[in-house]
Amino acid sequence: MPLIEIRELRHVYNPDTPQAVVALDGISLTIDAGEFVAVVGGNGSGKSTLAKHLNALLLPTSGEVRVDGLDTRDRAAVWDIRQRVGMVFQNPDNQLVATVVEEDVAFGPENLGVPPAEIALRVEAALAAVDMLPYRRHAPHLLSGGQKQRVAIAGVLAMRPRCLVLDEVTTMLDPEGRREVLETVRRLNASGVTVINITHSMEEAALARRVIALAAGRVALEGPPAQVFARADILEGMGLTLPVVPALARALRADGAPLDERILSTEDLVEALSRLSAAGARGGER
Amino acid sequence: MAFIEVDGLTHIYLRGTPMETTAVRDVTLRIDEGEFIALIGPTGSGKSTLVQHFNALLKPTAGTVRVAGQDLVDPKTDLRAVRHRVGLLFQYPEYQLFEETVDEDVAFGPRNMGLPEEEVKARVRGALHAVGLDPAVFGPRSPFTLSGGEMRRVATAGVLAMQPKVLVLDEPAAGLDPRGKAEILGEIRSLHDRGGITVVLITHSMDEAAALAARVVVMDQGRIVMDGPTREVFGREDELTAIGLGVPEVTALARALRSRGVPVRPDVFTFEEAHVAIREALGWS
Repeated sequence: MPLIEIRELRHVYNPDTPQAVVALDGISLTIDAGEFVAVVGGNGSGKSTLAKHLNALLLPTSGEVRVDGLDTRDRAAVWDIRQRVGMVFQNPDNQLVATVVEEDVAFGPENLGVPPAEIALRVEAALAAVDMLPYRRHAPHLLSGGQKQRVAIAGVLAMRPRCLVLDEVTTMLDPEGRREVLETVRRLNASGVTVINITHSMEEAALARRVIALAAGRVALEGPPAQVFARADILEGMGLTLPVVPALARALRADGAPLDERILSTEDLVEALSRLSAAGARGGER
Repeated sequence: MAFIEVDGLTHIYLRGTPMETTAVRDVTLRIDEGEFIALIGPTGSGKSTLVQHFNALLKPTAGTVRVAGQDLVDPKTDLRAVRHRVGLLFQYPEYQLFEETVDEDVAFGPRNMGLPEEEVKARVRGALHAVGLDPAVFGPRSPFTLSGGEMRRVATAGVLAMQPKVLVLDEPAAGLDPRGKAEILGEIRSLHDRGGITVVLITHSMDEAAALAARVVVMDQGRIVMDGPTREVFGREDELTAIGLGVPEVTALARALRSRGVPVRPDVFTFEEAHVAIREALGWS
């Protein structure tokens, strides 16, 4: 069932002025409940503008965006939409407001007017979901970057959203923080939360089940990661590159190695190469 | 004599308060002219605190820092001169752009150095060229009309215009798309290779560190825990993983292949090395 329906979305910043910039130029997309989608594209391709339309932080110049059937231009529906679609941003230090972790997570549901007993349950569930329950009484500013981002995600989860929009949430994290956050996101998606991950990391995009590549405010490529990464020529024209593993598989294919175009992960490539190596060894014995 | 000499450096924030934090503990380090060093470590390991001592933005709680032989805590040392020789570019330097035009922004540093206006203009042109921006096109533009990658390059030009001997960069490629990332890192590499500038690159990307640096310094909990040639440091995968770091993706791939009986050489750290090593292992070379 579609959770988000975008039809012919255009967004123009500073319309009718000499500084007018067309950020989105006719985007049509449907995202189903439970999907895990990555949105990639060069700087200035419209990714963040698109994200801000998903919870009515921005409204279409023309076209429409519907969340769970609700039109984002309907002012009466804005809070219902924001409850359904939660956003997490790049900088973990700009998103935490309270002095204690659990108060931070309670902030959203308090604003929604949720009864206190219910809030306590939601905070506990949300912190458990991101594996941060032991830190509930800690001060957010003393946490690591990955921990802060997980608390920010918990704050969104406490609103019981249907969809999580992540805008470059791992960019500022160290390798461990990045692993923690990606693992958390993968688990949340497995439990039914729709995830839209906006990222510059092609390695991260490979973890999604669908990749949407934007260029100049339009959808340039769309499909399962393997299908999108098979179009290396088009991606390069957009200023993007293949993730390391598919890029290596491609270079080896160009050398004549019979490697499948669907190779995405290190495990895939190791599997394929160890089969080739074993076959080569047998061939050598003949 | 090393260009930067750090001896027994300790830095404690908010000393004597309940918030007291020791960010750097007893660090000793030598940086020679012309080196390209990657400084890696988990968030909060003390990397940024350490480099802010290189141009006296922070003062040691204990220990000494010398730049070109001059002790930075000695009141006779001209700190302005030191800051012209050691350029620091913080994370997200585009937030530090504030002038009306790109030219003015890049001119800010050299003008503060008291250089004659002709020299300032020449340096601005040179610095913009060095970061791959055409001065005639970008010079008159407002910094706020630029893309993220372009802003990052303008900020880099602002530091380069001071013609520092040492360039310290904190995550210069974070938040850029793959093309912007490749461009800025390519420019840093050529400033080092052609311009002879000493580079200290702080990064969370093991791939970036392996591709660019000859030496890797690893910090954890305020201490330097590893320091050596890039290939040697990335050969210590278990220790790196234990502190929350890792090895370049292709290094992990090579290890996984060996464990499956594919005879790939172990010292594989860059994309090209991996490509060649796999061809060799499969007998295609």
